[in-house]
Amino acid sequence: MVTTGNPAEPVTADELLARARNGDAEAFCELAVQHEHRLLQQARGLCGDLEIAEDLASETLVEAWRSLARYNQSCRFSTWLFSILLHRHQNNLRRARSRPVPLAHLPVNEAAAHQQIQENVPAASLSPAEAALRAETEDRLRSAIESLPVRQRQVVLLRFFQDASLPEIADLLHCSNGTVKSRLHYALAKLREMEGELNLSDLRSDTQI
Amino acid sequence: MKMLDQKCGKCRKAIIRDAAGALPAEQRLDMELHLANCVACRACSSELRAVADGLRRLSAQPVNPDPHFRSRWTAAVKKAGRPKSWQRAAADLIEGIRLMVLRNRRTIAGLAPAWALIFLFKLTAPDVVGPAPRTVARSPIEIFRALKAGNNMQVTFARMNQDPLPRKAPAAAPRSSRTTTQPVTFRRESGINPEPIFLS
Repeated sequence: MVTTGNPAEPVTADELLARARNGDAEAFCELAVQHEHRLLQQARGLCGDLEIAEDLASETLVEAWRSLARYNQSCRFSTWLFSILLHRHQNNLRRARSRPVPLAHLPVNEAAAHQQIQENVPAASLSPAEAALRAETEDRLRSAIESLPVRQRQVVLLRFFQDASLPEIADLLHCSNGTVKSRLHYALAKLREMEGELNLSDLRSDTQI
Repeated sequence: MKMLDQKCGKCRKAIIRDAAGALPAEQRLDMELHLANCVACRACSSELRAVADGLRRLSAQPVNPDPHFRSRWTAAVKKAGRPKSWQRAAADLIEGIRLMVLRNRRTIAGLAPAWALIFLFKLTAPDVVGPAPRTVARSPIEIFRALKAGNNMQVTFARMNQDPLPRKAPAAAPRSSRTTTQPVTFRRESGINPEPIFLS
């Protein structure tokens, strides 16, 4: 439930969606603001850098606005937004792989790399060493996710990043429930094999949700 | 060496499903009973839970966005505008085709070898077609029909008062008559203008 200018008239998400479908950009923004923070968290989880995450989340919301007519309400609005985010992130990754990395983007020394890690870790309560350790663990986990085949990666991210149900994932990916289960099974089995290298205990002990 | 290397696949599937949050309650009880007595499966379950927790936590890290983040994307949304109706229709059409291909991808994949074989056969099959058919034209309409019938057709013109295909060859025709009865042949190749060829 959202309240707009007049507090006496609460506006539901469905009403905002209906108005947005009719071309009301303000209504769309009002609706998207509710999902903005979560989307940003997910984007940061995907790419690891807050600035890139902000760009990714912005692009996702603009794309969602442009293709709102295609949202058929078979899944939650947040799940639909996350599927767009995932798609854009995969496109960015594909483009980045085929493009040479400029020298300016490479950390020149260890101190610069450490500073970069510090900038990307927002939790102020952690000591620099803990923050660096956690950032490394996150990076390892991110690399492990990226090493999965695309279809398995999609299912894993939708399940654990967005907490989407299996039927929702099946509907978004246009496949059967059994296929989703099977992809999830193989993906988790692969990630479990890597668990020793990932050393996820760092992430577990440091993070307070 | 990990505990997982001790083989016990009794409820491995159930453990993975449980980590994914997709295990029905009735199966979870059986799994928990097994886990109570199996060290290897307990270790497997613990590792999978660690992976699942790690994934969840990765997407739930606290973020402090730039103060102008919201104003930036709202301005971008308002500036972007909605696509025009024809753009939406084109996008819907493309989406429809994509969905159709996605839904029938197994059928398409199944038929692909058959299509490949047919294509290969077409490429490698010898040309068994006989000589091009001949049409005798007696009027412009017939010429038109003959031209319309095929690209590599040979069309023979003859004068109306002459038999274009004499049943028997004239024995010794006078020189003047020979020139009048001699048919003129046009060969029409695809894309090439008709060019008269005089028969001997």
